Amino acid sequence: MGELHTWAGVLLGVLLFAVFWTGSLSVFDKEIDRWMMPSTRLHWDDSMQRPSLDRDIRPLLEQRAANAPVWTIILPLERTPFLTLTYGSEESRKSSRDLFHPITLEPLAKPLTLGASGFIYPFHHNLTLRYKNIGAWLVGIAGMAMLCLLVSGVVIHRKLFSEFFTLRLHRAFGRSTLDVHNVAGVALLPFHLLITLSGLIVAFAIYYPDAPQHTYREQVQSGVSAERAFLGEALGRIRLRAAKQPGELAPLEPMVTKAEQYWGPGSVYLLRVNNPKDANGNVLLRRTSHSSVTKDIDNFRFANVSGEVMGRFQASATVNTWNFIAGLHYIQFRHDALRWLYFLGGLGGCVVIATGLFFWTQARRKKQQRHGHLGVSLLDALSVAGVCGVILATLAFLLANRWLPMQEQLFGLGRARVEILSFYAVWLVASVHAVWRVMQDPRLGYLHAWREQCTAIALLAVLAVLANWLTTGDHLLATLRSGNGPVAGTDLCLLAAAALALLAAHKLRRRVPQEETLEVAHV
Amino acid sequence: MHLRDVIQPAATASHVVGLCALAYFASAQLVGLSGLLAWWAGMSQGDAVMLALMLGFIYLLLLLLWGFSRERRRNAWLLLGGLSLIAWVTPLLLQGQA
Repeated sequence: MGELHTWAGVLLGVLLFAVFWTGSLSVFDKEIDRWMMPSTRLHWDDSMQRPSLDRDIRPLLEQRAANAPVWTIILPLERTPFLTLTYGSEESRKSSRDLFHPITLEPLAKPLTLGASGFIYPFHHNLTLRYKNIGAWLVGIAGMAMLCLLVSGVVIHRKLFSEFFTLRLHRAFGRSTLDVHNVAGVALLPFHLLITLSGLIVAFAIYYPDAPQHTYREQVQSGVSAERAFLGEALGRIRLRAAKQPGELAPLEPMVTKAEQYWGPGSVYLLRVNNPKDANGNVLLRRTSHSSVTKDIDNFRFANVSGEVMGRFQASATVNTWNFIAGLHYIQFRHDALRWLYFLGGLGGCVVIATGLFFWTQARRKKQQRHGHLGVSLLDALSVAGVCGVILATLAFLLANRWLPMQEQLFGLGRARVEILSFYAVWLVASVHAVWRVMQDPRLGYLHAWREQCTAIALLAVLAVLANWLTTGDHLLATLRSGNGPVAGTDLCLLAAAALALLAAHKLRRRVPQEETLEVAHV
Repeated sequence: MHLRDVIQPAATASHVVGLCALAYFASAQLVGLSGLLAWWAGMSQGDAVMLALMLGFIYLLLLLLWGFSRERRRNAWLLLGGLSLIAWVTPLLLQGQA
């Protein structure tokens, strides 16, 4: 078990850190989106009158995408305070998306960014490597390794209860690092077990694609895909083929009224119109999951031409167990305090992983260097690049968002793409820096690398706050005064990150002479 | 550098990767079997598969922990391999009879 804990942690620690870091940020992805998309810094609460679907919203769809095979209307919500319309085209499955002011319905300036929900969140679950789900598989392997680490950690730390109360920050560096690793690991063990297992379970279709084959054998023999049959029955996902006959879409407002008779007023947040101009189309209505932990996948389906109810999908008790697990992971319920606890729990996971890596390399450095092995030095560089590097990359992503000119094309690429390139470029530079520092001085280079990258984190975080102020005029005092929670919260977190990084850099600076003294004593 | 210095880590890496793959294969077969048994026990097809899918990750975790806690590598391979074979063949036999 000890070997399993060590090697799973060492080999997958860096990937796990990136997944936990981006997962923690994804808890507030919509709030970071408001920071990154100034045109969407609006206010909406449920007591406000939402726009009329037939009078106000439908003409917008007719103007923009009269022939699109799918229209999606996402009504304004507290965390996404604008109207979103998306429409696919016959040629491409990729939808285009427009945002509108929730009251005036004026089109909002294009954000020209993917934001946190379009980049950081996908990175969390697929590392943005979508080809054959390679990224999702890597994240899945890291997730299963995390589960093994948690269980094997409990087994190898026999004095689990006493370790929970043992935090000696003033003792030797290695000892205090291990104490932080143990205390955070034990205190957050239930949360980490829950979030990791739920993260795997929500992506079942990727990890166990053949699961329905035996059970749906009869359907397979009659030519229906087992996966399609299962998704239709369990999750209510049904595909509809166009009849290629013209049809006129019935009014949408009565459909919403009918659904809300069952679900409660104001509960519908999404309408998807499949084949809006075809005789064989439908309108699918979904409701919010704000008032419960369980992710709500129930839907109402109406015939697009007659407006009659075609069906109502209600998840079974078993599927709702999965929805509950998914809801625990996706955190779509409305509860700010709980959201902050998730965020802190995620960051706690980052601390456990980073201190685990740091302790391992510390403990093995002297032994391996005596034998002239480069393994620990390389792992040192990898740890710095994996921990500080991904934080620096995230800050570069935010800074690029604020500093790049608001033009659709930059350097021959889309602006959103340039932001993402900034993320990877800074991560690469941080990695090169870490390797260079460690190779330059195999004994103490790792401390210099950690310290310099921590200082860089502090600098970039403060610059990001300043950039937000200079480019939007929304400085921290103004956003705090106006109650703009998402922007003020993001700025405050950036400043807190800067303070913590400076503190870490300061502690590391004090550590270098101590290490040098120890080295001299050993010689 | 001795040849042993290369062979030993390579053997360990092969054991780790191979055992992980075998544990995953065994868990995938157990998911299929569990779904089938749950359906035959009276659940709807969708519920049976969903239940089996949720259990799949628990199976995998247990198999990995069990496999890597064996003192003898050969035992881990033999027992996980045997379990995979049984879980793979059983649904085929059961469906063949049905």
